[in-house]
Amino acid sequence: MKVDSSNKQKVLIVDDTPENILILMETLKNEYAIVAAKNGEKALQLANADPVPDIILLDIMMPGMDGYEVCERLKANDKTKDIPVIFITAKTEEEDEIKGFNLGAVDYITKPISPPKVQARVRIHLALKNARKMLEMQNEELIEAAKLKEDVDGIMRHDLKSPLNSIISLPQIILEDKSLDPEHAKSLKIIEEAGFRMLNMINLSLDLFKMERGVYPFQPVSVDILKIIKKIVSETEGVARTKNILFNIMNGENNITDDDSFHVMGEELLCYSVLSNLIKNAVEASPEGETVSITLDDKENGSISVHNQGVVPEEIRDKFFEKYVTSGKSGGTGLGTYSAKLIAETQGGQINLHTSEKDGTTITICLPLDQSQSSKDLGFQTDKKIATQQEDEETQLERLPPLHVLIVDDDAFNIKILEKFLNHPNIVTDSSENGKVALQKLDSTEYDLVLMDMEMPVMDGLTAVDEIRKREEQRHKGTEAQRDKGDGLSVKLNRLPVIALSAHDDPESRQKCLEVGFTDFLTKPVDKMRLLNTLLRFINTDTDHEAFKSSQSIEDELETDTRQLGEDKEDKYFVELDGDLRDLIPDFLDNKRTDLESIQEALGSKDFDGLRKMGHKLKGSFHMYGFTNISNICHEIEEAAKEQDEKVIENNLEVLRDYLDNVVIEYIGGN
Amino acid sequence: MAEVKKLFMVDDDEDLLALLKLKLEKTGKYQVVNTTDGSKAVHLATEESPDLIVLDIDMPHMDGGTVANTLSESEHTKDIPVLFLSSLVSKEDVAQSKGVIGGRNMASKGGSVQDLIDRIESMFQ
Repeated sequence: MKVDSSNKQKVLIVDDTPENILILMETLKNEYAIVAAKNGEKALQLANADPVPDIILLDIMMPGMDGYEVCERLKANDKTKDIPVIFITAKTEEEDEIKGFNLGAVDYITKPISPPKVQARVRIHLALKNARKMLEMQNEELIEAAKLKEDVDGIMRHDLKSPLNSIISLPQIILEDKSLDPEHAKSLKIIEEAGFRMLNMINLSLDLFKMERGVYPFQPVSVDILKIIKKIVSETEGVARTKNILFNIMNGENNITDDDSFHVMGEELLCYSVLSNLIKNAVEASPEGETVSITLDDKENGSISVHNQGVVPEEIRDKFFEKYVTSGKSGGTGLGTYSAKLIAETQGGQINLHTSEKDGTTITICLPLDQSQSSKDLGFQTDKKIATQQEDEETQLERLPPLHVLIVDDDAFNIKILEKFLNHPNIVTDSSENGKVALQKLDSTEYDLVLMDMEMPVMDGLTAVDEIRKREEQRHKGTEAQRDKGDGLSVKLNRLPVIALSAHDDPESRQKCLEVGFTDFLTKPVDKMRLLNTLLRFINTDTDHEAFKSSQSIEDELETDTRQLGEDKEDKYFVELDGDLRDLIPDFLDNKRTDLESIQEALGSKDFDGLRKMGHKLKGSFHMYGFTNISNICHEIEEAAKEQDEKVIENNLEVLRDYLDNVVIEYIGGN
Repeated sequence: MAEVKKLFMVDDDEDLLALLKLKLEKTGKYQVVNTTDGSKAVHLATEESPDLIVLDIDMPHMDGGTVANTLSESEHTKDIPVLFLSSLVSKEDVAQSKGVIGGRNMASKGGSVQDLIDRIESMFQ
């Protein structure tokens, strides 16, 4: 029956009069594949066939189910609701037509049938249908493209950060080697700087997007603008030299001295970005052989003016800070001044342009001064105070009390870097590859501080810190009960400082970390100074912590025996199972190893549906046997298979293998 | 002494079947027949009329839903109670809906073996 229907569009004709069907078939058969029905039931059946008809010509007056009802049913069915329906009727009354249109018909053909008219109408409605389909497809593509763009942003932000970790951290580590050739040291500095610049660019691209929407989480701190300007000037000097341009940095009326600093409230990265933009633009816009002046002023707000002798063309002066406005610069995006304005305003400041043939161009940014930096409300201060601060830090580091730090991270390389950073005679570090192992260590050994990665297999950072806090509360209740018996004084709950290390730096992640019990939050990649500063903050100020240690050490002494036991068992996983299962377990473990091989194979052939099913099955199996932790890993495989995330599956598979190889089972009860 | 009930367990996970058979028979209240094949379960059920059939949902060849429907269509098997056991539903789902989801008796593979034994017990009360 299937006659060359493959490329022709399909028309369904529904009419209870065979003559009418015949006429319509003759009219349309050259252009279309035709199917016909003599009643409503048959029509619905044919409309539901695969592929569905492209258009339906439907007689209204039929015995049994009439055309209106057929139409109504077609529209109620998702599969057939989009097929255009043209009513064929002897009726010409307006009321009937309206009823038909209300039911979703696209047109009417009146009897007696005029073949050319029918041909024309069918053609028009099929063309309309195709056009609509095309639009829908285009719309879907656009939505997809928009989503892709967002995804790429997300990927950039996260995935680029990991390799940057090495680019930024390794030079710092190598530079500690004092025997290094100065030329090499200089090159390393350049690599490190470039790494930081790239990190900043990644961060800024998304931050600008947030600023536009007013959702940027601004966290002002004291920032030394002068230090930033000096850095930018040194970066820009090369370009400036080719144009014979000199820089002149002024403190109000006076020249700047080495001892000066200028503190405003803002974010260092944002200040760097906006000033770098303005200074580089000034150098580009300045005529050759002139001077670019940067003037700092602390009269009311902290104002920074960047001046050059170039003139902004009149036609863009009014919209100088608008998006996509650019002039005379090939390859300029027109986003520079726009983002400058955005950043200034996000930091609670303003930006202004003053330009004229006579005076050249001055762009002034005002930012709130840091009031705390000086008793006279001045942004300026001499370097003396800074020097003492730095000295303080150094002496603090020298006088650092003996510290035992636990690093928890599943990436051995990250651990290595953190250990290098913490290389200090008074710091002893220890490491665990996941939250679970960390908890075991915390049970057996005393630590002063924990650095904890967020995303780890077996047990992630959030779960681990939650567990740490729970245990502290329990212990606290215990000690309080003891003390109450003695002198009746209540004891303050002491908390071990646990610092989160996370690749995510959005406020939600931060908030979540602090809520669940982390003491502080460091964004990866971590640099040495930031790490040590955080360390100092929690060690020196935390006197309560000392009390905690002493109360804890009493308990620790009591637990010495169990502790030593725990130490030897580091690389093994322990699980307690129902003793009844003793005889089943060897086969069970063997079968699960085979299952893991099947998963590996499915992963190789990218059979995600199979992976999902196997993950699902294993989840139930492990759980019922009592391997509850591992059941979660299987759940992750199942979920990752839905996302087609091979990496996550691969990682979890590795965890499962390792687990099966190293699991030590203790049977409880049974025979 | 109470009468020993005959249970059919249908699941494509043989390890799970072995575990459940062991634990259920240990209670002394049940005799458990395991099968990994849904259509075989239908045949066996017609011949042996078990007191309860515990069915996994997601199985190759014939899924649990189809097995249950086939059983309900036959005069011989339509009155045999069926308990679905699946990790598609969570322990919490089951607790919240008091064990009946969409008109079906459900138990979760996210619960403990003892939970399942208790559940089966309750089906006979």
